[in-house]
Amino acid sequence: MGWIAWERFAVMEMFGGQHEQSLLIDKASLLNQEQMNGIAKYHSAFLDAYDIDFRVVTTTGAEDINLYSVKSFEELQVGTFSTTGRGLLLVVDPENDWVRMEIGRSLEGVYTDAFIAYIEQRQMVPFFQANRVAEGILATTELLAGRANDAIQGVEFDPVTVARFEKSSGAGAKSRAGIATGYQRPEGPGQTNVSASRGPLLVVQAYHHVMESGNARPDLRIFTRATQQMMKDWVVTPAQMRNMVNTYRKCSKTEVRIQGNYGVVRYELSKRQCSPYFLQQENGAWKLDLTMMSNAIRFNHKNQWHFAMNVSHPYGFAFTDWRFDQYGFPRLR
Amino acid sequence: MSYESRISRMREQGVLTTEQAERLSRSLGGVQTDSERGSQRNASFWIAAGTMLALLLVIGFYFSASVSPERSQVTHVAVEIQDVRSSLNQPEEIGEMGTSLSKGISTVLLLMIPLLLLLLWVVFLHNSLVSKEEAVFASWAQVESNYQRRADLIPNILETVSKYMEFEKETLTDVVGERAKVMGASGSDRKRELSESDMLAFRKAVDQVSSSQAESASVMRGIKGAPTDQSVLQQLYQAQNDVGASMHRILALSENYPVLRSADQMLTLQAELEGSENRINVARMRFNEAASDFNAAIRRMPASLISSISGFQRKAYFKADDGAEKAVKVEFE
Repeated sequence: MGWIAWERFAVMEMFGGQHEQSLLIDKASLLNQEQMNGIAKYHSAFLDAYDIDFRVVTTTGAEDINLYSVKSFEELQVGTFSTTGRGLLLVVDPENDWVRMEIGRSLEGVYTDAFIAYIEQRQMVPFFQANRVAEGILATTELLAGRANDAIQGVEFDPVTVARFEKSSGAGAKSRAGIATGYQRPEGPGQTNVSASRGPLLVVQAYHHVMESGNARPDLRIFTRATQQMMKDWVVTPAQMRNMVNTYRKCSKTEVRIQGNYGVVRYELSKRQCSPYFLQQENGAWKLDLTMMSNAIRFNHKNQWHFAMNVSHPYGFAFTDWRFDQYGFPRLR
Repeated sequence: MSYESRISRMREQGVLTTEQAERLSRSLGGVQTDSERGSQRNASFWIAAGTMLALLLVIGFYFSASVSPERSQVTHVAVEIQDVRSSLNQPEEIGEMGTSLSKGISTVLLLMIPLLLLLLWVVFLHNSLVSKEEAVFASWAQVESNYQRRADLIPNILETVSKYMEFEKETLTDVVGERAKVMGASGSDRKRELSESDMLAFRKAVDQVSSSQAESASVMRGIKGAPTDQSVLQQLYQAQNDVGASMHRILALSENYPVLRSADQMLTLQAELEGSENRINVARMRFNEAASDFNAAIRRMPASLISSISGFQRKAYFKADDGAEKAVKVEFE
């Protein structure tokens, strides 16, 4: 999603499993207790959903992070929490400025070295550069979940039937961690030429277009003033933008609903990853209200959207033909 | 797409000369592995074990024939009803029945059981050496397959780099050509100059990678099962290092080309190359561990006697790079 925020992971509180406490070892003291709990819960939900045992280790002084990761994978028996032996290990060494994700043998076909390098450099590291390590880890897990979803649909997972520990073969990738070195916002071409004077659907299309061109400027004219203010503090990564564009390419049956100064662009209910857009008129022009979207819309570990039931917003008029369950997930009446 | 069609396309496009294409194609041919590992050694062991078993049978036969004549008689007239009254033991008396048994069978047991246990122990030791050697063969197969995995990347890297070089050269030389016209020099001269220098560097790197890969493949073809000659392994190590260095040299050409350097395709290639190299390092480390375990086992007494009879040979090690021999400490509470 293009509007990732820490709050979205709070939904994971409804999950959590027996291995939660063993999924994270913070030897480098990079995370506070709340962040550790958030990662542990999310990874526990990830384990439940995809049967992937994803551990995180932060350390200092791993001179050779490749070798350290292989040995840690073996030492921690990564993959043994999974019933099919699927294991992932993320090692972060702030002292030597490296991050490495080690991939278990049964996942090598799903998470290729190139894919891992891509999500490290285009998703995780920008958050690290902004000194948001926990968010970087969660944002990375989010993309790993997306890839796992695709793999399930394409039957790409190895048909492993017996759970047993296998040492890693050295698969994965390492990248410079760059923690707190300064976030470089991607700003593609055409950032000043986006007109916001047309209808809500065209504004959404323009937003998709700027995302596709790798443009994360916070002051785009298609944003409300509140959104522009909020976007200044947001970390937007190239991988998020590409992921968002790819997700919305699959969305169909677009509907536009307007009431007064508020507009909603929504998609077919069965496409659970296609969350609706909220728009508001400012000075006669339709603009994206990402501020309200980030407050009112949450995602689960499968990137399926739902409303945060405790947040009230003026866009409810567009969903009167749908009902929402106790967690805020939409259903047909 | 196969490596042969990639190479042939580059030859058609003039990126590679015919001679270079042929040499590269030859060098990338698969590595033949020996499937008759240890058959000769097993034959000699089973001859020795068979001799020991025959010896045991001879001893057994000799002692069974030398038991008391009375007992022999009873055996020969087994169809008659045996009169055991005279041999029945009276209270507090050791009868004849007991003495004849202890004289015959117990002597046989006394000599045969230790010999049988010795034979079983020898078989166990031999089998344990076979298992350790199989572990060495398996880990060597991993080393070979990872070398092959890296070699398979060569055509892909060559094609990508040459394609981007050509694209950027055209873009760059248009600009340079315009500038050269103003300065009085010919744009086409400048274009030719750029083309020639880059192509020269590219072709030199292709030649190096071809010759190193050919040498490496030739060394690997000569290795039966797993390397036993330290100098051969060192030669292979050097050749493979040269392959890696040449591949990095080709990738380094991208430094002059900003579009290529920042392209996702380049990130993919770099990740795949680094991933292959890490797998090679892990496979070499595991080969060294397996070889070390095996070498120690065949040197220990009395396994050393069995290993010399059975023809087990000491395996060669990869020599660690400077600094790589440092043990990586991984401790988790």
